[in-house]
Amino acid sequence: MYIRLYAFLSICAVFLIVGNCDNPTSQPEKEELLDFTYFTESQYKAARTWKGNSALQSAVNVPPYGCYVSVYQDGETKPWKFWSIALNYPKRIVKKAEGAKVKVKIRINDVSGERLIRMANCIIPRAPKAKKMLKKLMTKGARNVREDLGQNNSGKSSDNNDDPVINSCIIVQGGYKCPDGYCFVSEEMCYSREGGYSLPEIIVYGDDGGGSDDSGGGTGGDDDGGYDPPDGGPDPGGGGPCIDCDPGGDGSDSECDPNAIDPPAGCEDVGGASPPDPCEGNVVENPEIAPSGGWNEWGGQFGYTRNSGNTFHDGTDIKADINSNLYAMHGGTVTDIRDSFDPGEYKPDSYGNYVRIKSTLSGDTVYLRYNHLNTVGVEVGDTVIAGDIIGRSGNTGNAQEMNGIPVIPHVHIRARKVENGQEKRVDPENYMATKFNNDGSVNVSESNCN
Amino acid sequence: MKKLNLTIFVFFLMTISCKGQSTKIDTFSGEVKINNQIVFDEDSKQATKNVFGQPVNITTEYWEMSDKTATNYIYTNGAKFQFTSDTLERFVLTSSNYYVQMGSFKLQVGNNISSIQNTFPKSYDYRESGTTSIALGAGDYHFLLIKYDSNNVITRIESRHF
Repeated sequence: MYIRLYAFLSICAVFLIVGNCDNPTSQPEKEELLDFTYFTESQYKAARTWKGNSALQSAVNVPPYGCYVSVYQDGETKPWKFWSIALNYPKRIVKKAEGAKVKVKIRINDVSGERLIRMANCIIPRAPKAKKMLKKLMTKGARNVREDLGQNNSGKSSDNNDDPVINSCIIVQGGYKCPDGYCFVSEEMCYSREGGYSLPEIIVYGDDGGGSDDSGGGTGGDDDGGYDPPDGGPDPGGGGPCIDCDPGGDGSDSECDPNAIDPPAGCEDVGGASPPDPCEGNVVENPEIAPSGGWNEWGGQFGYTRNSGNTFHDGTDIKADINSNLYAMHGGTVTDIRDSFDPGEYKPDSYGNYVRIKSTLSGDTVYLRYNHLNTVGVEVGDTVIAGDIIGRSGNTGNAQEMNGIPVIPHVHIRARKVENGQEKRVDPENYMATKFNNDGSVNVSESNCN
Repeated sequence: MKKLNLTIFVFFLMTISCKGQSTKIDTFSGEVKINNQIVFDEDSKQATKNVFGQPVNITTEYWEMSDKTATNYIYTNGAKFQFTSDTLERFVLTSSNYYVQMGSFKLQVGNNISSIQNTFPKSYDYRESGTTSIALGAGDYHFLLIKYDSNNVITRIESRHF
C-alpha cells in the first residue's frame, strides 16, 4: 500500500518538475527537445556552470508571469537546462497570456551561427501556480534545478571560466502573423564565458490589451553580466499584440493567441521569424507623414503647416493603421499615460489616450508623447528601451475619421525639450531616425534609417 | 521638340489637377454663418448673445491640442457654440431653429440630406452610415459633419477641426 502511494507521489513529483511547461506528453518530447549534435561538449559544460547570479535568482524566485522550461539531454533524466521565462511586459498586457500554451521555437545561436532546435510548447501558468511550483522545486531537493539556477546544493556558486565558449544564445520565439498584427512570443537567453547571464525578456503578443490588473508584475531584463547578441545574431524581435486575427469573424481575439498550435484563419505561421522592428528613433517601421485632411501633403508636420499656414500643428503625425503596434522611439521612463478613452472615442481638440516618455537624448531631457492611441501598453514608471512596444495606434480624441473627413490613421508625436527648467515645444522630427522634406516625403539623404 | 514640350505641359496640368481633386468631399471656401448672422471662425461671441440671447448654460473646457480654454454657449433649443477668446471655433446644431448659411445655400437640421446634392455633389455621393461632410476653407482644418437619420432627415450639423 505504502509502496504504491510512494510510487504515485514520486511520479507526481517528477511530473511537477519536468512536465509543467513542456508538452504534457513529455517523454517523447525529451528526445526532440534538444538535439545535442548542435552542441559541443564545452558548450554543454558552459551552460551547466553558470556563475551564481543573484539577479537571476531573485527574478526566478518571483515569476509573476512566466513559464518553466526544462530541456533534457537525450537519454538523461535530469534536466540539462531549466529556466524560467519571465514576462517582462506590462501586466495588463500579459494578463491574458496566463494559462496559455505557447508555441515556441527553441534555437541555438552559437559561434557557428543560429540553428533551429525544435518547436516546443510551453504553458504559462497563472501566477499563484507559478510561485507554488517554484517553491516546490526549490525545497524538494531538486539538485539539478538548483545547479541550473546558478548554485550547487551547498548554496555556493559554481564557477568554471575555463570553457572555451565565448557565448551562446537561445532564442525562444514563434507565432503567427495576422492581417492586423502578430501573435508572437519571443525570448532570448545568452551565456557568456565571463559568467554573465542575460535574463530573458519575453514578450507574448496576442491579447487584446484588455484585462484587469492584478498584483503581478513583470520580471526579467538584463543583468549585470550584460550580453549583446553577436553581429548578425538573432534579435529577440519586436512584434506586438495581435488585434484581430479573425478577419471576417466575430471580432473576438479568441483565435488570436500564441497558444494555438495552428494559425487562425487568415493568419500565417511565421515560425521563429521576428516581427519587423523599426529603426531606433522611429515609432513605426518605414514611417510616413500623415497629411492633415487627407490630401494636404504638409499638414502632418510640425509648425504652421495647417489652415493655409495659420494654424500651428504641435507635433508630427506619422501614419499608423488603427491598432497597429507603436514602438518607443527612444529609451526612457514612462512619466505619464492616459488610458481613459475607449478605442475610437472622439473628443474635440483632445489627444485621446497617450503615452509620455522621458528620455535623455544628446544630453537633453526630452519628453516624447505618443497620442491618439487606442491601447496603452505601458504604465507610469515603466522603463522602456527603443523599440519596445508601448501601445497600439488608434483614433481616440480628435483623430476620428468620420465619413468624408479623411483623417488618415496616425500617431501624433509631440516633443518637449527641457531648457532652463522649462519645457519647450520642439519638432519631434529632431528625434526621429527618418527625416522628411517639407512636402512630407522622406528625405533619404538625411535619414538615419533607410 | 514641340510635342515633347506639349506632353510635359499636359502632364504638369494633370499633376496640378489631380492634386486638387484628391479629396472625396466638396470644399466650401466662402463665409460660413449661423442663421446667416453669426460668422464662423470669426469673433462672434457677443454677436451670438445678441442674436440668440443669453445662453442657458455657459461652461468652459480645456482644449489640450490647441492649449486653449474654450467657452461653451449652450442653448437648450438645439445649439452649442464654442469659442476660444471670442472666435467661434466650433458649433453643434441639433434643431431646425438653427441653420448654416454657405453662400446662397442653406444647410438646416430637418431638411432632407438630398438638399445638399446640387451644391455639394461629392459630399452627397460620399454619404455613408448616416453621415457626410463638407470641407471648409483650405480643407485641411475645418469640416462640417452632417448626420441624417434613416428617413434621410438631417439631425445634426457640427463643425470639426484638426
